[in-house]
Amino acid sequence: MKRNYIKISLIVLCLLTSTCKTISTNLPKPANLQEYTKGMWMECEITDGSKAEGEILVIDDKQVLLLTSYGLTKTVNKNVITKARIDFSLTTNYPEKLQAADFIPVLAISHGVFMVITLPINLMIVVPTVSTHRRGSYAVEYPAKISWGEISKFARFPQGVPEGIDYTQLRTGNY
Amino acid sequence: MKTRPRLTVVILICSVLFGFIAACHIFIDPTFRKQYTDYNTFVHESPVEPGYLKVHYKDGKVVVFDSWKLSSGQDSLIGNGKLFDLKRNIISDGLVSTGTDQIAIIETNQLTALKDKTNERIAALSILAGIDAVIGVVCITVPKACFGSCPTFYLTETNNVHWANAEAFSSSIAPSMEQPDIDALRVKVGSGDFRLIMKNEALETHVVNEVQIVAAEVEKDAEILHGVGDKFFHTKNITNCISALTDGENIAPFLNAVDGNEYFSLSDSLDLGAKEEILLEFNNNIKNTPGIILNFRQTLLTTFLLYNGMSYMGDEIGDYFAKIETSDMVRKKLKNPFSTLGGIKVFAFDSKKEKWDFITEIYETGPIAPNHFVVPFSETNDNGDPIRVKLEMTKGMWRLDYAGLADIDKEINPAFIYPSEILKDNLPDPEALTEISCDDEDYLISMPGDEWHLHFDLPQPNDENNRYQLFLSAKGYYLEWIRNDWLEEKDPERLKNMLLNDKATWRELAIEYKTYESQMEELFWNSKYENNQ
Repeated sequence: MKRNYIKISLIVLCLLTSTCKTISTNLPKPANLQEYTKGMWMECEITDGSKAEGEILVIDDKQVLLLTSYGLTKTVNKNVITKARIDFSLTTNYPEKLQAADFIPVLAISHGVFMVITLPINLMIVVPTVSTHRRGSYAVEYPAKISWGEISKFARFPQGVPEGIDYTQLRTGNY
Repeated sequence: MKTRPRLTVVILICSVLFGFIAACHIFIDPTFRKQYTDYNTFVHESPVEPGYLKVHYKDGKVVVFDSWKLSSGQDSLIGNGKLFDLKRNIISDGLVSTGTDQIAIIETNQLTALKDKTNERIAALSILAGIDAVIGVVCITVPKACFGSCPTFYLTETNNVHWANAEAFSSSIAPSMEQPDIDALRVKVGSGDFRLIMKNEALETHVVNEVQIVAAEVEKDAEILHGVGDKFFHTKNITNCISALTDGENIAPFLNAVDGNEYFSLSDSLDLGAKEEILLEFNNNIKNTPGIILNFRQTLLTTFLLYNGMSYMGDEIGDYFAKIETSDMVRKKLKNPFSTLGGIKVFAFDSKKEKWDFITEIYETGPIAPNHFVVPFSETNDNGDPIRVKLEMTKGMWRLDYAGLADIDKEINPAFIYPSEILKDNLPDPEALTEISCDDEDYLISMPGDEWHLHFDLPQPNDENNRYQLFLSAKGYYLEWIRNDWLEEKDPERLKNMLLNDKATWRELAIEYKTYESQMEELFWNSKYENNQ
């Protein structure tokens, strides 16, 4: 019995922490969006099945220049991107405080046989309202809801290529 | 014992189910971010409360203002903010001044804003309450006498607004009130290049849709007149009045030439709607259709009422104008006071029936450039008796410079000509040319102090001895800037009473206007934008 409870607790915790893929840690909180000066985060699917993600630095007629989480710049041709999601911000201003709430459903294991009812209820409430929001983002999907022209508004340099700029200067990682 | 593995399975299924149905991303409308690549458009549409604003420089730097305002010259943004380099490291934190020449893109984020067409228009109006306008001493003394106008047009370079040849779309104080307006320029020219100067001399944003010259070919001894229904009439015989009586006084000397020597009365001290009559008499030399010609403009009474209405709206003016934009009923109510005051009613005397026949009522908004207008009517006298015309108008509301009688022989169809070139600061501005060369969704935004030189190519007349008589046709609207002093007089109840023509409120307005009336003209002319620099 005791072993089963431990097993269930671990399963629930795994589920709670894996319901959303952890998004970029660079995303601003909603309250900070106004003063956020970097580009938005883009995650795109490419025709060959691979994926690319990073901060949108600039978008021109043919390419998207991303700054990856490793601090490297990556150029992706627009015509090979089949689908993309642009993350604007987190959905909460208090992601740290919500972290502790992940453990609330685990308490349901103390409900004994009533856990059959109380755990799903706990999950039903906690997952969408807390766990998802802690790691979720306000976003938009390309090409369903936004065009390339509009996406460029969310680049670090919406005005295009500043004259005389070498993009390697923008790299922050080791390469 | 058998229930335990089942319990685990049920819990697992439920957990997986809820785990998957929970959405990780909340998809939102990306239009919350608005960017302006054109500084003028930003100034026109900028948000009500100067708050966060992001300005991208051409060199890749970016400044985030947490408070900002436009400089008095409207050519830079000044405020507190942080300047970031290309890597978004802070370069400076504090007072930042950004010249328009540095700006690549201005960005605002309005997360809660709805982005349908109506709201875009409302946003365009929000500037009304947002700008801390620089007002001269004159305006502070008597705020409601501050200079206001729509675009003024000049044939020659002059800084004297008294010489303005036309003022366009004066009654279009909101986008929904946009309408075309034709004014006589009172000039005859030959073919070739014709230049017209358009200025913004008031604390207003002018939003110009289109500008055209109306060119009517005319013989040297003839005259083309603009009349009711925006029709154009040809005449060769114009006579002055032989008498013009009001209250037993002959005011004919004021009305026998377009010379700026105007007749005007003072308003009634208790009733702003009180009327007066002018009886005009002309020798009857008419062979075709008679038409009464009037050269007139408004006094500052309507300006006073408009500014009063806006001051009663106070800091809610954006909301009120939003209502004006979206509600026919509100627009109608807004016109109530002006309907009560009315225009100039024209009557002709029918000597056979021994009674006055109402011909029409003419109304042209604006206290700056006079209107030159003809009202044709049917001649009923066949015995050579003098032609008698009566004008009925609100006391203290109109200034008459001329009254004459035209013998109209035909109606004509003039040519409407768009500009061929527009210069700003002596440089061609092809974008501005596109914006005002068509009645469409593209508008030219003109800010206080802006001056545009419009060039028109006039074709060869059909008869080389003829010339072109010119008129101005313009379409657009303008947005008054709210003076700080006005905000202190917020009084929604009084506004409501004013719009509902409440007698007590109008009596109080009459008394208030009387205290300004004698000095208002002088204060008005002295407070135009140029004089506040």
